[in-house]
Amino acid sequence: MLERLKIVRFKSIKELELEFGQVNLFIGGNGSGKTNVLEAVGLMSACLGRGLGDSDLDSKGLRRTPPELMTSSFKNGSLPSTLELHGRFAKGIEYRVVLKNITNGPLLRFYSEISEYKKTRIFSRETSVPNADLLDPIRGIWDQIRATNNIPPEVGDEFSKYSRYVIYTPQTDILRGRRSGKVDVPPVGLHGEGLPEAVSSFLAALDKLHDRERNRPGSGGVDWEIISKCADLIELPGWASRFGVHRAMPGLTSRDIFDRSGEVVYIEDRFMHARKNRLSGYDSSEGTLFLLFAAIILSHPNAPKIFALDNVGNALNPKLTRKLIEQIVEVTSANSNGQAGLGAQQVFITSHNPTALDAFDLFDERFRIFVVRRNERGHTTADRLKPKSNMTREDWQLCMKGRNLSQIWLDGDIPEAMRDF
Amino acid sequence: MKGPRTFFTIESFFYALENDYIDAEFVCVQPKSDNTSSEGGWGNVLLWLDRNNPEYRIQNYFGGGLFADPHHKPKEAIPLFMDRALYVVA
Repeated sequence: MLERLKIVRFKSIKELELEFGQVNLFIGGNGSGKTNVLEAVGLMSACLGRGLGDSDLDSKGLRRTPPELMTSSFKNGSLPSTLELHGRFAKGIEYRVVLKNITNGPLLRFYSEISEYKKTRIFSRETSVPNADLLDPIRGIWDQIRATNNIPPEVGDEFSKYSRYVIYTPQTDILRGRRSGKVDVPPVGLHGEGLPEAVSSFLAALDKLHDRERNRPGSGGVDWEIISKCADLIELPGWASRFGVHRAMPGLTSRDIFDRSGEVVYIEDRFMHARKNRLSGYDSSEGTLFLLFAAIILSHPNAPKIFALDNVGNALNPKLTRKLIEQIVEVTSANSNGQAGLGAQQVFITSHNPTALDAFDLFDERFRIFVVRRNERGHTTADRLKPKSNMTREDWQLCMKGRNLSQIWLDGDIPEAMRDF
Repeated sequence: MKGPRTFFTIESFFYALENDYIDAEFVCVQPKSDNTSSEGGWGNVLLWLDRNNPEYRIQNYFGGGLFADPHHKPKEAIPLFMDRALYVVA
């Protein structure tokens, strides 16, 4: 788990240090820098992954921003050529990287990087040492040594999990099958590409655990609890009873679907006639598809353990947004020690939907809300939303008297979260 | 002079103080007076009082705020304008 990240000179962030929990929600105005925070997490993950090539950044959901705009360029300030990311992971594992932009260069390059654990250097790169130019400037050291060097297993585990971090931004046209694309990080593409294959393998995992649980109740353990509850998300809107994949049925599948020759997702409408109740993803509601997508990234056996979901309430009814985030909280809680085979361990989300806040207990350190804003100089800042230090839970409840955080946000009482127009 | 006009006079006076004379910020906490907006009008005063119970108000305005907020500015005084409608509520 990424516990702390210091970001220096990255896009709208001049200098920012964040301490994360297992679920981290970023709220704030449009253009405040929420996505930049997710991208900073992603850029450091790319440094510990395959590197800084266009396809590497694409596969993580990072925008292909020209390197000269990756480094901050504030008015009346110097124009730096480097940016710095410094992460601290569980068990005190540290990684620090400085990246450099070369004028008109197409890609960021490594300038220096170092990782330490228990006061011992695991690996490092310095530009000033002899033969440094022989190293690949866009590929991190970790990716080059992890298979050959003797690395402490806890470091290997942390970096391997984190290097799979991606930013998901599901898109309706792709979820519906109107458009297609590649799946860089299985089980499903960042926008919903390959949804039928992902649903198929998700159901196979669900069935396997279901059989195990039926034969010996309790043997499915936390994995069964996680995947079955995620599968139940699809029923929340009230009309869907089952889902699956099947060969597209000519009379019942829209001609607007990109690939009608293969398998398509279907969702059964519980109110419809048995012969016509299998709606293709194309004809299903956008929100239900979004929940199906969320179920997969939260609990599919091949899903990344650490990921971001940008704009979580995009297609959802406010109450569903809250329910989905409650499910994210539940899954990460169930898998807090990382012992379960299934289930996300750390999630970063952004939302403009006030009800997203209602899923959080501000007194629980594991789940954190950050209010992101631009200060008077335009620098992105992010303050953790937590009760005043001397407030107890009882004090809080006395003040709130059942009032939700969403109402407080809408009333403008969350500092800096709502700009007055 | 009484009624909403008095309120606007007082409000303008404080904004003038804030802009030109004293180092303080005037924050209007009551609903807007414009009753053509859904959140405005004197009818919303009761709703505001109901939603912002005394414990909430004390903590938010005088107790240092609800949240651990590095930008929080403690409030030092609440000038009240007692109109007949508010008097009934009190």
